[in-house]
Amino acid sequence: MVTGNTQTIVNAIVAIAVWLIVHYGLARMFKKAGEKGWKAFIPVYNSWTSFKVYWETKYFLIGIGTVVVAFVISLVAQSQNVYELVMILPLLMMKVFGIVLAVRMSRCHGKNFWWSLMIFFFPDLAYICLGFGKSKYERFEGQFFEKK
Amino acid sequence: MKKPMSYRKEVTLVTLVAVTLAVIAIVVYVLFFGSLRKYEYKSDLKETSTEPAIYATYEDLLEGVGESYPFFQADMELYGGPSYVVPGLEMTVTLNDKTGKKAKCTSMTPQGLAVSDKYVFISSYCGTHKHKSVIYVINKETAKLEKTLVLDSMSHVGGLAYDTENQRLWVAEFINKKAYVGALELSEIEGYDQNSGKALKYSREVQLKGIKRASSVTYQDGRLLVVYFNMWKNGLLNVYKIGEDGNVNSKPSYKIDIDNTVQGVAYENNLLVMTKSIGPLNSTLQVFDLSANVDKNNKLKFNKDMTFNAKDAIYNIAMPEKLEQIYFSDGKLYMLFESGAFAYRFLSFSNVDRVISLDISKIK
Repeated sequence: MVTGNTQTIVNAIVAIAVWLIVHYGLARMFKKAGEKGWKAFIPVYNSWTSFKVYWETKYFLIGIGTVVVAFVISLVAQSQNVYELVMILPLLMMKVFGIVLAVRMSRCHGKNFWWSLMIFFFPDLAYICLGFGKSKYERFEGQFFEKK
Repeated sequence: MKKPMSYRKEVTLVTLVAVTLAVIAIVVYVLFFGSLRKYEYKSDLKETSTEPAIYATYEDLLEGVGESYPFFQADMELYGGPSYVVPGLEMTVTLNDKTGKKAKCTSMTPQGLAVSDKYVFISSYCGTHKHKSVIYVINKETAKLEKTLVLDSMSHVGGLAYDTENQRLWVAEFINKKAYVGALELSEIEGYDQNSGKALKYSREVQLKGIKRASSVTYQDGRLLVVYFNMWKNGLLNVYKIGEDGNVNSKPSYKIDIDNTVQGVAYENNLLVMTKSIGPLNSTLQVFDLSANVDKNNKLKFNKDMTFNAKDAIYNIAMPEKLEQIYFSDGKLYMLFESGAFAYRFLSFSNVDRVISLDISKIK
């Protein structure tokens, strides 16, 4: 019979194992891009590194900055309603950035549209596939709004 | 070889897929929820259910809800008080509104709460709008359901207030699209036979002016504090005096600005507490310190410049979703959630199927 405590321990072990595999996949992706693998295991810093490798770090700063500004506005307003309203903006922005990052990640590894979808919707699975797969990294320089 | 899609086109397409999936998810959620709101499942029970609908024990509830709300579990374990199973969530014996015959309702949705020395009162309305609303009368000491009052109304019955002066239960009502409070005398409540097959009529009904709808109500020292819930704009807290004849003055003495989405109000010992909740978002207890508004005789004085908005609160306490009415008794704040109702049971992050109580003076 599995007791509640045993179940909790098993769940924790599985969660840690999955986290390690996913981040090891990301570490291998970073290595392909010439970055140190350990950066994948540090929260926030791994996001910074992803933006650095696949896009531009200024977008990471814009994303973080928007969250901070929205949080400060809601603190000043002291209203949960304002908080809920203003937090929608950075949430939407992060989703849009997530889409762009997914497409760029897919392009950097020579993958197509379907991979972009997989990276956006199932990033953990995508990191494992891209990290352990044979794809090679090649920086993608394309811009959404091409300079004339 | 096929020419690869342009970068701009690919970003646009992935965005379109994401937006489409999000819209589909919202539509499915709304349709599923809508269908649950119209659905009454068959129940084999013969009497109004008294067993908890979801969690077998109070400890199970704290652990289950604590998975989504760990802060709530910690607060309740430290400062929690008595709890009462919300009856009738599985099935309530009431009356069919059209035929007037006895009927089983499996979509009762708890809304109002009042606590007296002897009883805990919980009001519920039929989610499918087929059956008459009810009030469960629970023995405060034994926590057992004494009886179910069937009201002569299908109203939302969003609030209850126990008038300690006149031994009367006030019910927030919506009659002919106007705000009312209906009164049930304690003697009538105690004398009501739930097997009579008759609905209990209000002994008096008072139309409340200056408010579109009585969403919630509480009793405070010879006054009724009535909340008007507004989803988008700020709501209202109107103060109505109860005269010496026990009648409520239909004109408000004060109209006080409150935040939107306020679902309940309670007052005790210079603390006014309001609940804010909407959909699956966290609920909030807004706590206001009114000690500066109390005179030498400890009588609360309202004034026309008062507002009860988040910025006026001394602190805000996060609570699980779908917190409805609250009530003070014996220094504890009693809380009623609607998340145990059938329609919400499958679409909520947490389900609270008991009235729970908390010493909020310990939480800051």
